[in-house]
Amino acid sequence: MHKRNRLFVSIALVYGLLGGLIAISRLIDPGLIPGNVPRAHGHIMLLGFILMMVYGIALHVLPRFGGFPLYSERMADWQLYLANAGLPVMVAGWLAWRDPLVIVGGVLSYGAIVLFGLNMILTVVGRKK
Amino acid sequence: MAAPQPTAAEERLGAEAAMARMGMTFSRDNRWFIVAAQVYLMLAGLGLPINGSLLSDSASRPAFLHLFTLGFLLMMIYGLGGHMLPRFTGNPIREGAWPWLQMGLVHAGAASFVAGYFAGWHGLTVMGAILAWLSLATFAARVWPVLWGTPADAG
Ligand code: HEM
Repeated sequence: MHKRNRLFVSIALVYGLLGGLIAISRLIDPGLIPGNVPRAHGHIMLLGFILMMVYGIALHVLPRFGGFPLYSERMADWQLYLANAGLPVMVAGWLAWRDPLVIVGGVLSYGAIVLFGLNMILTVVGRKK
Repeated sequence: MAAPQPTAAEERLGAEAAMARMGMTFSRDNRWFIVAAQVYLMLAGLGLPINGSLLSDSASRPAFLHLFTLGFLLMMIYGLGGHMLPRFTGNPIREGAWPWLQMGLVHAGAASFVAGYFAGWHGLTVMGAILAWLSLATFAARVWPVLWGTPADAG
């Protein structure tokens, strides 16, 4: 399994644990972590845990199931960087009540989503570079 | 004379036996994670006939939401991740009591978390949250050596 894909799965696990912890802290003491904690938790879990897990596993299996090599390793590397730059910025925006940060983080995370989507489409239809 | 063709049933049995030999089929723990995930999905979906929405605006919103996320999504990841990742990396996953501990914690956690919201017992919700988190920590501890370890230390 490619190191980048193992990183995606590992980072997913770390986000899952982190997202769970901030939810627990909110349940125990709502004032402990400032900001919009449920929103931050929801996105850490969905974009950080579930989506990064899907990224890591899909980048490994879809080329194999599709019968063609991954269209672009570089796109997948940039997907890793953008996804992991975007989510922390977005979460910082919610915790600090700073909408511009949320927007910047959202744009970066969306960049990763588009790279993944295009890379997967071009892979499974067998498009050569 | 041509050799007799296998029936569809014989072919299916042959394919199942071949998959079992290749180690393609689920271990018992992963099979139960997948079964449980479907049960939680059906429970989460009850929000549709009851509230007319998967996510109600009432106090039970986090309960239905987490039946879907903790119950369905997380357990699908447990079952599929625990099955596929060792096959992708070639490293074994910790078996024995570990998956059953993970399973006990996630069921106790999800049930207490959800029941706590329905009953309005905050302490039960907190307890469920902690148990569910411990289950995720157990899964992470099982999967980490699969991703980064060598076969010798993943045992
Ligand atoms: C350790 C496990 C988990 C705990 C303790 C936990 C706890 C919580 C809590 C306390 C809330 C806020 C409820 C409220 O007052 O509105 C919440 C919301 C939420 N959770 Fe979780 N959760 C867990 C796992 C997950 C998972 C695995 C997912 C997704 C895959 C998830 C997705 C969400 C979402 C989307 C929200 C709604 C956020 C919003 O309303 O903006 N949670 N969770």
